[in-house]
Amino acid sequence: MIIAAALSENNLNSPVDVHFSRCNWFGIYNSITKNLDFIVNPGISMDEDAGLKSAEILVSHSVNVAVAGRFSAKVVELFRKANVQMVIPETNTSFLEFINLIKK
Amino acid sequence: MARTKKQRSIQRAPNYSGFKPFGVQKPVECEVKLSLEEYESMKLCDYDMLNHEDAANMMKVSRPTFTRIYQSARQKLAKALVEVSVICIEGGHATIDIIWYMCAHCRISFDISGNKTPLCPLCGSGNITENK
Repeated sequence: MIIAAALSENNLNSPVDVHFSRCNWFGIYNSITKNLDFIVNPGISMDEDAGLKSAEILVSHSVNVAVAGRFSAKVVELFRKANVQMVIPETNTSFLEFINLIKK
Repeated sequence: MARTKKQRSIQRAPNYSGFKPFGVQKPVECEVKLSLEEYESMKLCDYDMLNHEDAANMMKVSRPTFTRIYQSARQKLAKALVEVSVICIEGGHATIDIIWYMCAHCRISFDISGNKTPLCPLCGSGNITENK
């Protein structure tokens, strides 16, 4: 399972960002290989359709689960079509805490 | 006989019931009822920054209908702010497009695409509740 979380900083202790489209970073974690990667949100500098650009990048990374505090309407539509599951954790959950919840 | 109102699609109902003003001397008596579709129209236009055409498509209504819903939402919100009223978000003619589930163990909300059995994506537990 490949998980992508919207983050404000590029480290494991960063809390999951409230906004999917306007977060600074995405943390991408592969639960099988345990590989962890951070990518800059490509949509952050865009005036419109920022979320769509970010979502397309995550789909191209074969992400199965997207994690953020909120997803915009267009992003929801794209993720539903691409079969990407959306997860909203409790406020202030860190990326590390989220990864630790995955059943070993 | 008046035509029955078409159901409007919303993505997710807010997980709170409304707002209360603070810092007022007397108890607040007035109450403004914001329907779920009015809440959704404000979210789509003023938070997600969609234009009326796109927002109307999202809610599966015509653009003029969307504009009426949005206008009503703005008027109610302005009334609540000026007249120091409690805002209750409830009712309306809305259907929730996506079913969100909650896992009590992992404390997450998630959606399920297709006809899959609802299971928590993290712990795999089937002990989940529908988030209404």
